[in-house]
Amino acid sequence: MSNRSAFRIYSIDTLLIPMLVGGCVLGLWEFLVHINDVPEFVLPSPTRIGASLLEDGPSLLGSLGVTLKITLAAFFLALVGGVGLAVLFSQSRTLEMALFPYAVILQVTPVVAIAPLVLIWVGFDRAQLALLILAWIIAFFPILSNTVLGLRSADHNLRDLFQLYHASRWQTLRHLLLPAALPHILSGMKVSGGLALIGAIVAEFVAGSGTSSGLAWRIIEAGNRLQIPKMFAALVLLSLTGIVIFFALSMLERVLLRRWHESAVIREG
Amino acid sequence: MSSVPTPAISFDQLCKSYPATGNRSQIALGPLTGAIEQGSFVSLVGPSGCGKSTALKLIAGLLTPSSGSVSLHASDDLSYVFQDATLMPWASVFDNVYLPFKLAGAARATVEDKVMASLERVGLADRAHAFPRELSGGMKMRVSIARALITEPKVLLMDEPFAALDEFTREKLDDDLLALWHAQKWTVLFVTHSIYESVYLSQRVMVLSQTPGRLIGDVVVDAPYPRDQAFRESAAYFDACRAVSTAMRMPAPSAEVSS
Repeated sequence: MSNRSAFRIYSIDTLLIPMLVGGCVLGLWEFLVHINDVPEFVLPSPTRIGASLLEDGPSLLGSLGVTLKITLAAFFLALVGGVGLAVLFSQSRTLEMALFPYAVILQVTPVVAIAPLVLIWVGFDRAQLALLILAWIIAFFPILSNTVLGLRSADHNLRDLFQLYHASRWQTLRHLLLPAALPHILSGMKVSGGLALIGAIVAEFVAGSGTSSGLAWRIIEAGNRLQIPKMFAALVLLSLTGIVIFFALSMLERVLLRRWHESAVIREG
Repeated sequence: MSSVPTPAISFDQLCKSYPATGNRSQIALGPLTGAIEQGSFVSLVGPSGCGKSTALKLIAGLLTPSSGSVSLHASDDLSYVFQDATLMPWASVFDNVYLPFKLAGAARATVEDKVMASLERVGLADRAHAFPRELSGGMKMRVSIARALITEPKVLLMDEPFAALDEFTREKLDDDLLALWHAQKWTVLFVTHSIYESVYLSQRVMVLSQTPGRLIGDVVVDAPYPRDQAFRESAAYFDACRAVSTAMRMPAPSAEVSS
């Protein structure tokens, strides 16, 4: 069990079956578009989108790079901030009571509603920073709340044991609370990874026009010019990026947990 | 050295209560007065919820008494075995046993031999690199005991350590525990709800009443060690079991009476 490769998350079947379904849907799509003579600016055929992807690929990839940079930075800051704040909360109940409600408020306020405000505060000349802040706000909360839960979930007898052996606060955190929280942190990260991307895109849509060069802006631009195949091509890139982020984090989870946590154990048969 | 040795553990009017509804508080245990001699094997039996575990936690210092006191002859040389194996699932068997030393700041390399020796003692040296989830319940409990013994404690507090195990495993572990105790002579305070287990293991059985737990019996099991299956079939064993069982049916003394 344990010596199986960490990279074999999915068997051939679990990849093949969804791909077969996808293939059928694309085929049907292609067929229906041609048979009904649907205009390109309403619904382009998959082959047309593919052609657009090849044609505009390089320039779209550049824009994807911009969006991805914001996404990853927001995700990284959310991870550091979320885990860091949760650790502080675990050390001081007062601090948790004082700050947690505000973290919730930050979470429930729709990012679309505060985007213009954030943009004004940081200045239109620093739109990238505004995007980063907005993506961070969205990505931060799942990591915070999962880590808070995880740090509390350490076995009470183990806590007693650490106390009996006179473990310091730091030792208890390092060797008990954080390892016990790791599965929760990782599932928070899986949610946040996707949200960081969504946050970056949404923020760009709102803050967008002219100040940004990310993928969301390219979608708006293509829409305005009725270049619908290009719009779809950008969408495909976005979806692929989301999938890659999810897979990468699933892989990380598998590697870190596979020897001890039930969620990551590959069952025989 | 005086001729009468200081007891390893003594408790005087030990009492623990928890806040209940309104201003009243609910007494969970005590008052409890008694002493446990050094090097002895003593069991604490009583019905579920009578405060046996609370008593053990008070002695270990994991809980503070509401009134009364506990004194330990050597308070730092104490180990605790919980009802569950209480292993860190993310750490190997080796790292679990190494934990007390790690927390004391000892480098891994300097205590590797001790860790392996402790695992050897419980028969798990070949599983040092396994993870807890790969072990059976009995094996996990052995790891837990190896971890408790690694610091060479003077006092071993055990809170129903084998209660969750099947009969065969439990009897085997009882025997292994006795063999280890016979060789090392630490003081053992063993909490259990099984009269048979308490009599088989110990020199003395302290019986607690229903909630709030008070001492209602103190039975000396007068039989030599090593004990084996023959002891389980002997008259001395049955007599002691009967004495403990009779004591358990005694009414609890009123709280006002103090000895």
